[in-house]
Amino acid sequence: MSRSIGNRKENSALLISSSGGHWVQLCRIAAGLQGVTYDVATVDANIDGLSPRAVYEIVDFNRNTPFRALFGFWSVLSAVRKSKATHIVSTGAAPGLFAIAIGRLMGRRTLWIDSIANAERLSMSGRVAAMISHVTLTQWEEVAQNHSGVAYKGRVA
Amino acid sequence: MIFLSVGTQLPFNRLVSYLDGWVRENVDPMDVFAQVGPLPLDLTPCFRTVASLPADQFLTSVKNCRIFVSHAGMGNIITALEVGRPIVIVPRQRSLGEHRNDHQLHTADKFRDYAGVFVARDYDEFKASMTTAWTASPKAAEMTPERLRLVDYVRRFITDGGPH
Repeated sequence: MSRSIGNRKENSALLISSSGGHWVQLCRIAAGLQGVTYDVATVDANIDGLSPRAVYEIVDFNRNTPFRALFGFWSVLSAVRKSKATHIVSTGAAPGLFAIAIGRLMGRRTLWIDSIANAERLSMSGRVAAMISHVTLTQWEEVAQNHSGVAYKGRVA
Repeated sequence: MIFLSVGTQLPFNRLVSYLDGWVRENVDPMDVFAQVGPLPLDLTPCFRTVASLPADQFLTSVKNCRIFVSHAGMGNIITALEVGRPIVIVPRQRSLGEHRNDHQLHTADKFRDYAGVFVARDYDEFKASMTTAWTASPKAAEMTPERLRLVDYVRRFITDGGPH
């Protein structure tokens, strides 16, 4: 990886996920990112233990809540637009996938980390992410072996 | 708090009585919240039991427990790993009438070497696992080599990324 001399903008990340287990996993990653500048986009108000540059509230949604998804899309779009981050990192699910998609359109570097809950196969969101994200990770070695272009680089536990 | 979960489909009284026995032998007063499925036993008073739990309350219970005691159900093990709590698992055995097959023995074997996962087949192993899980430093469980590896990867992804 080469660092260009003309790279004036400091690298930073927008960390985004839906609530529950996805958020727990994102926090477990963020807690180890001392010295890295990051924003968070979250459904949970509780960001104890994290020190983000900015916090954006998003509306959670999934494929069973199509109406809510409209508000969800809007909140994620506005978070990605407002954030100065050069990178987007998500542990899922639907809001994270949407952030990865619009992040790519806006020229951000994107990283999808599929939930540790998917020990047998990639999640549906993860399979879409594998097609659009710069990097897609699974937290299980066996799953990486069964999906080309998906790598294993460790897990949150 | 110790959180016990045996799943909702079948009773697992062997595991419930293991934990009951361990609690009775222990001098420290202990709070046990137990999701015991369809057939509760006569338990020590410190057990609060429910047949089943909604998903959000289940997640909260795993997050807040000191030790998660469970049958070798994939969902339970994954949740413990997800939120970073130590889990003691006892696989159901077909020969004891605890399940239709022995897939929980295979699941337990698969997770045996993971940090924070303790597998017990009988009461002696259960007691040993509980003692280890009880005294294990939460910090030690927090920073597994695999977690460090992932965090390090994410850090490098963000900071080393070239121009866009």
